[in-house]
Amino acid sequence: MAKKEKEVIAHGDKTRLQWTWHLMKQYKIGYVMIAPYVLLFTLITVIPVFSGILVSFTDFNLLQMPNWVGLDNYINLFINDDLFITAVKNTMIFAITVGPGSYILSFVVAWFINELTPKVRAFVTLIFYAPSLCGGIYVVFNYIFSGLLWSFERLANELGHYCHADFVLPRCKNDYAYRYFHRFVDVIGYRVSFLYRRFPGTGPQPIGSGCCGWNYKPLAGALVYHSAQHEAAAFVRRYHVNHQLFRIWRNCDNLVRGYSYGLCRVHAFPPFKRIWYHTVGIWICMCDFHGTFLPDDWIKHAGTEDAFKGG
Amino acid sequence: MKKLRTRKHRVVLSRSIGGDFGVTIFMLLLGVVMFFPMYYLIIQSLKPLDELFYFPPRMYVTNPSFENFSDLFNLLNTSWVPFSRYLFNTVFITVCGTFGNLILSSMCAYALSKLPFPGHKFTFQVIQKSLMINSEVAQLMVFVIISKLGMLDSYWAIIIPALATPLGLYLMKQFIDSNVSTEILESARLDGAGEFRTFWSIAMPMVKPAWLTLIIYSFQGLWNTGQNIYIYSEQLKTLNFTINQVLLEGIVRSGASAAATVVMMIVPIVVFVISQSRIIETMGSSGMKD
Repeated sequence: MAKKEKEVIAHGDKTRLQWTWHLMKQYKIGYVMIAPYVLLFTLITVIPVFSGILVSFTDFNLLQMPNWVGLDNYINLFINDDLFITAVKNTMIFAITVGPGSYILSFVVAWFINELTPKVRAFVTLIFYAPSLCGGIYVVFNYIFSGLLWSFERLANELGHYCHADFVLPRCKNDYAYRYFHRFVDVIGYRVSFLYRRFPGTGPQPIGSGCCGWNYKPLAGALVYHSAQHEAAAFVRRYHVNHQLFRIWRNCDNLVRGYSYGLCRVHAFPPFKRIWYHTVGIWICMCDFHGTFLPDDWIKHAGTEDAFKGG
Repeated sequence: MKKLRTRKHRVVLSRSIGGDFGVTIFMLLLGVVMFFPMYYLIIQSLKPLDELFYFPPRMYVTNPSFENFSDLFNLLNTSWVPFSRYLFNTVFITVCGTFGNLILSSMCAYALSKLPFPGHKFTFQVIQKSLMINSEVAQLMVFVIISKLGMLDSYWAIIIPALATPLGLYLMKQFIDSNVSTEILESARLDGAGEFRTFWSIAMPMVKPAWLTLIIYSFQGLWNTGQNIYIYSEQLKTLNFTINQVLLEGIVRSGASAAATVVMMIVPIVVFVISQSRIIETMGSSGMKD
């Protein structure tokens, strides 16, 4: 207490600036202690966020020097791209339901768990927390809730190749799997065929062609080419730009242009992951996932030229 | 006044047996739903091939076998980078990232919480606000910065962004605020301890639960580092990435990919169980007489 009074008196003698300087000298060890964290934090969060805001007013494409384009990107996003509004709407729905819902439910559940005896509590905590510990486990629910279309799509992708190549047969111990695969391919094969009809060189590749499985790379290239990013596509071909970066960039591109896959993945997956992340109840998962997983427009346009026009 | 229900000298949450029953049923249902994906994956990983493709999928396994696990390890052995290298990469990244994050965050949190230097409030405000920002928003510029620093294609590209997480700092700050009393620190200083010593030997043992929480959180994030935009060299890729390659091979590998998921989830669960069993409420503040 005495020390504090002395400080107050000392404060009285000094100007504000002198007092601040005095405190800075007195607690200089504090600056040393926060320095490493604050430096890294500035580097990894503060600078990227602010420079990101600046970059949004340019036509930066990661490959060339950016030019200032003013509000063009925003005008494109809000006015020329009708799917963006849908995505915003879906995001709002998720934010409103998942946010408060997850916090209330996890609070209630945590409260109940806290009432249990220590040993039971440890076990129950593990049960409730484990799904969030293992990154990819929510895919099981993904299969269940995402509806038939999405999984059929993937099945057709994969089966399309494996049946074509008769790849799976030597491994089968009975022929149930064989018949099962073929039935599926017959039923849903047409769903994906438009993709590889549209872009030659993609799709199931014959044995010995050197391509394994569904050939995504030319498809990606075609999408990029189609979106009038000629330079970028050439750059990718020429310099083998980091594949993952390219993919993320393509997803951003997809988001802006409203491509089916990019869009539904970008706006359907993160909230789904977040549901697990907060150890939330399942009732939220029950919300209309069929509607949000694939935008209606995509189904309407599937198999036509419009599916790739975007915006 | 109604008598409160007690069990072992503690007041019980609900005041009627019916309420207890209801809560138990609710928790059971919720627990079953939460546990279902894990159960399903474990069952899938134990199914031999002829059971794997039954439709609709069965929720039990009649002839459990470890065929899928041996399949998985055979697959992993065929890669030209040895499996142990992937394991080393993941362990290195996880250990460095977790402990670096722990030390940086707790040091900064301690300073922000207990040393009233000019600017400490502003610094904390900035960090707190950044909790609202999704890290994907800045990812593009982070990539540019990492590449300008020449850290692309090295472990540091993963470790450095994991070191300064706002959540870790926030957690530690709140915990230090409420659990470490200024008087104890004051008495340590009077006994001649320097600031770093006060931080390390007095404040840190008091916030052990926060440490363990942060370890779990950070470990889980880094352990699941999979494909990312920073690393191209095959010999620097992580275990999760490699194991996920099996998943990408599609439906013929369903068994092996279930086994892969099970293998990947065992380690975080073990870490979680160990740290959870070590979280004992520290009685740091009980030494004080207010």
